[in-house]
Amino acid sequence: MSTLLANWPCSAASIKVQPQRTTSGEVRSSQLERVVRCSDSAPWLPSLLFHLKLLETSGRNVPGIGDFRITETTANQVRRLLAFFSEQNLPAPRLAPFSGGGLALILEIGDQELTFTVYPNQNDIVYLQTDENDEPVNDGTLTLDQTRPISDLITAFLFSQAR
Amino acid sequence: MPLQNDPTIPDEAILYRVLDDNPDWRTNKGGRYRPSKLAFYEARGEVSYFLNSPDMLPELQRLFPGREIASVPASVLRSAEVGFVIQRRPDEVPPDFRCDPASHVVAGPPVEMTRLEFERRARAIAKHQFTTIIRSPSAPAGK
Repeated sequence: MSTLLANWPCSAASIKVQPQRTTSGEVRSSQLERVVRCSDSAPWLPSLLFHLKLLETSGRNVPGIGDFRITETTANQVRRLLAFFSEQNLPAPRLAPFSGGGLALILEIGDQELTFTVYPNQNDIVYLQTDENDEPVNDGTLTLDQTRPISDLITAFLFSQAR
Repeated sequence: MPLQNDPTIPDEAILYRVLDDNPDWRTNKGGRYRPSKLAFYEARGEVSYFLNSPDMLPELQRLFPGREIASVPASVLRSAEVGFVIQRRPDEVPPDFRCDPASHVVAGPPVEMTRLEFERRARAIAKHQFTTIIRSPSAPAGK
């Protein structure tokens, strides 16, 4: 298991206590099951986590543009947020830094977007769903402890694409 | 400390925002190539700009080679929809800046504002018809 995956905070819903039997009859340990589940539903996860680590370690203050230094706390909040993404068979989201040490996690399907923004030293995250004309459909703030509303938000976004 | 509006900066002034290399700082949404909302998000509520002058664009292209630069009228930042103020910030210029340090400014809300509200106003700046990207000769083609 890579270091990145070892540090990956899979949410409680993805943790299996009992070993799981694969279709070939092989028994997986619960630890391995977590990794397999992440890699099954989110094959983009390792590279995104690598990108996140890169932003965390290489971000710098650029006078005239902005301060792009990402704190460990901010990066960890994004990791927690990614747990919600990894369970729903979503396309790869994108990470983008913004001035002041913030990070945006962007999920784009078609021309529609769901963006979560994480700010340094803030517990709540801002979300924004936009339509194909970049008009806001839904926005607000949530904390990462509000697991159900975050999952519902992502599910609703996916559902809106299917209609 | 809340930002103070500088009345010596006229509404007709053009402000330049140097864009990060991240592709998500620009977009084609709405049918035109323009900076995205992320270019105007700021965790502390103070976005850096440079006031236009005859030497400013070449200077920014010298300091930030290959970077695209957005152009935003002061009137957009101060509009009723956005409601930001513009304050000079000469002590935060980039190293080796060769123009007037007083031409470096920050724009943001004059009063405390939620991040949600700040983002809404930042989006209004990004989507305004007068907010454009000045293409650098060495910049890669837009997506």
